[in-house]
Amino acid sequence: MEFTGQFAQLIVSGITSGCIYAIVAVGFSIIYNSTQVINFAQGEFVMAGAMIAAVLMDKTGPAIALPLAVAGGCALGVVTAMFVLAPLRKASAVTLIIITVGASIMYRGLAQLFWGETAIAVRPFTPVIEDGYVEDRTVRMFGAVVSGQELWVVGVTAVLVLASYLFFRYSLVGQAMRASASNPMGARMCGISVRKMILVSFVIAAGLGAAAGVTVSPVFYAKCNMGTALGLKGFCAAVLGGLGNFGGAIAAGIILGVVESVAGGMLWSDYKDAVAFVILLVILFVRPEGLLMRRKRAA
Amino acid sequence: MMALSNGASDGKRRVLSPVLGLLPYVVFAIGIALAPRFVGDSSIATLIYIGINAILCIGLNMLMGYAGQVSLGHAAFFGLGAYSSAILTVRPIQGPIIPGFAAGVGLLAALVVLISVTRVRGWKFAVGALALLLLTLFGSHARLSGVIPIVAALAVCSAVMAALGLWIRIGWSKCMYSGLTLVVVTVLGAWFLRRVLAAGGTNPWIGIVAGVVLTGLIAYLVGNQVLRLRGHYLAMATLGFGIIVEIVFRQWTDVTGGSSDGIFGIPSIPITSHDSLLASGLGWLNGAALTPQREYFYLVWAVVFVALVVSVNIVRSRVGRAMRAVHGSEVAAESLGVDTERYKIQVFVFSAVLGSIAGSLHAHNAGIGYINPSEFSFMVSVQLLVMVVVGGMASVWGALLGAFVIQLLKNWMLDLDKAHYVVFGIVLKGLDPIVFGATLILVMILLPQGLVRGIADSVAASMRAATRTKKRETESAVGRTD
Repeated sequence: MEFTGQFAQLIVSGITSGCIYAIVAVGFSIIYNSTQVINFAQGEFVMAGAMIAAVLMDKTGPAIALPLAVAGGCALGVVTAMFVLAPLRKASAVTLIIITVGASIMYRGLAQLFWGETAIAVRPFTPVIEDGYVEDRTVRMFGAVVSGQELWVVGVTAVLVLASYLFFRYSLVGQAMRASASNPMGARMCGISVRKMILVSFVIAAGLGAAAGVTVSPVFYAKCNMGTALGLKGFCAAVLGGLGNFGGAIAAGIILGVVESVAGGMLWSDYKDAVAFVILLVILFVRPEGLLMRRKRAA
Repeated sequence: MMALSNGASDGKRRVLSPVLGLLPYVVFAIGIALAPRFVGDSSIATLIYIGINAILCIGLNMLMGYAGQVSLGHAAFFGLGAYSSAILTVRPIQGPIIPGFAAGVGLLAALVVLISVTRVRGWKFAVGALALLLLTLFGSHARLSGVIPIVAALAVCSAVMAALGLWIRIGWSKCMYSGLTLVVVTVLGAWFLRRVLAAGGTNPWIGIVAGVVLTGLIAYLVGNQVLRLRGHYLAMATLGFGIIVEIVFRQWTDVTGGSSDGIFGIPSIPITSHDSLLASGLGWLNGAALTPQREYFYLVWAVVFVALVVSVNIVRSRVGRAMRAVHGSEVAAESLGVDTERYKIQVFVFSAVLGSIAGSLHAHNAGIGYINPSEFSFMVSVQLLVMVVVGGMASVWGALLGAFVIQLLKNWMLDLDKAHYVVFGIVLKGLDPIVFGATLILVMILLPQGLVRGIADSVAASMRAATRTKKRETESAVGRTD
């Protein structure tokens, strides 16, 4: 009984972190689709969201903190897109990698400057105040204790994913973005500004990341160096699911979260963080086109 | 008349060019030799750091600048060298770990042999690797002492691998070599470690060589897999590798001391005994008797000098041309008959080995002799990137300059941290990530060739333009007189 309880607990925490990996992976996919660039600053968007939440949540609550954090994230996305777009015409992959790496550590440094190096506890969305202490509600489910915030994470992820699906499927801008992703030349001929689409894709990816950061900050805390690991794990999920493939990215993110949590909790607790990276390397070595993607026919 | 004078100057240039070509090295060597005479102890410490960074940077520049392959995990190789040296000289690993440790190195060596000799790929490689892993697990539990068990183990391992080779249709005799390597390296490794343990540490030079071997094996294995990836995938894979290695440094406390303790008391490397000719010669250059730190300065910069010469020669050789061809276009290089994969792996291993040597020198640094995992983190890899980018991709001397500038900048920011400047209620502290990040972005946007290279190129271009117009003017003047 105790074993199954522990197992269920690990699955729950795995799904929580998996949701965040999934959103980061979707962000990678959106930007990759429009620019063929892997944005190394993706994790920093999540960090930015968490940091803004850390400031606002105590005073205002989620209804104000979430939109403000998303706005902040979007602004960061615009800045990053400017950096990437500046040399795009003649830039090689190496140049773009270095630019986004530079952006990533710059954001991290700025966060460290303003918020310090320590992890900041963030008030949950639906807190219970008991004897002056702020605590989260908990629910028992399938033999595991699930905190209210973990349910929020899953719910917000679902909403974000659904919204971005609808956006890309039905809205005019979304369709234009898909068009410029699949054929930049053709899209330009139809009067779509590819640069503008790249900008929009960065904004959307950053907004998604920031929203994820806000919702997850009560569970993970807000810390200035959380971005690198989150970005890398999100990239791992994106590759697992096949870069550019939304459904695959989401499934892979959640699978990765669960595998990492179970492996870390049951087998190698010291090396929990390494699990995802080892999976990443193995996937890159064995099937760089992704596990959940059909293998491209040799052209 | 004009043609004649041209010919004469060409001839003169041809006579002069070897001398001119050597001039920078001579100046550099004299500069190294005389530097300690004119600088104080704190500057010597900074110069030692610069030298260590320069070695790292020259290596990474070969990989990034010339071969065009990004590595975001170079600090891992730096760390592997440092920990190998540190563990072998002061902190001999505990007895019970030895068989497993030796077997691990044996497994690495066997895998390298499996890849390089049989050139297997995909599922065949996976089967071979799995077999080697199982043999290693078996071997690390068995107690191998005495000749007969070792011969038996040799026979068993090679027989298993040969059978495997027959079964999956790779050359069975080639496959057998990897089994043999496994046993031989494991046994030798265990013997070596036991001797080190009994002696309470080994000679620093042996530690450096051991670090180079270990790092080379790991770099070959990782590079062999990673370098098939391109661009972003490669960057991510090396980043992931770097972080895994850092996590191992942090968590494997039995061997590395973990993140709180680290390893301390690592001895310096003495290069001379006090009454030798070399010591008195260096003392004469120094202007006073050598302190250990100044002696170490000479050692580090001698290594920098060697690394520089070797790198310049590689760049100018056939291998260097092949590397640049790979950078330009891998497909084109391949179609011209360049074995791109081989060259990429070679340069990856070369730069990893330089990183390992730099790591060992860092570990043995005179008067410090302390390492901990945070010195080999992702941020260090990024700093290396900044050095290469500032110094200019594809310029060996530029790498030197990059190491110089960034180390000075770091020192300056450390002073800034201590000064506690407050601006708008925020203490200016830990600015390095911001400065380095902004540098990377700006340089890449404005001068994607790198700072030094970019400026040099634009100066050269404007000079060329100037001479061209001058020439045209003289030509037109000559035309008019004719």
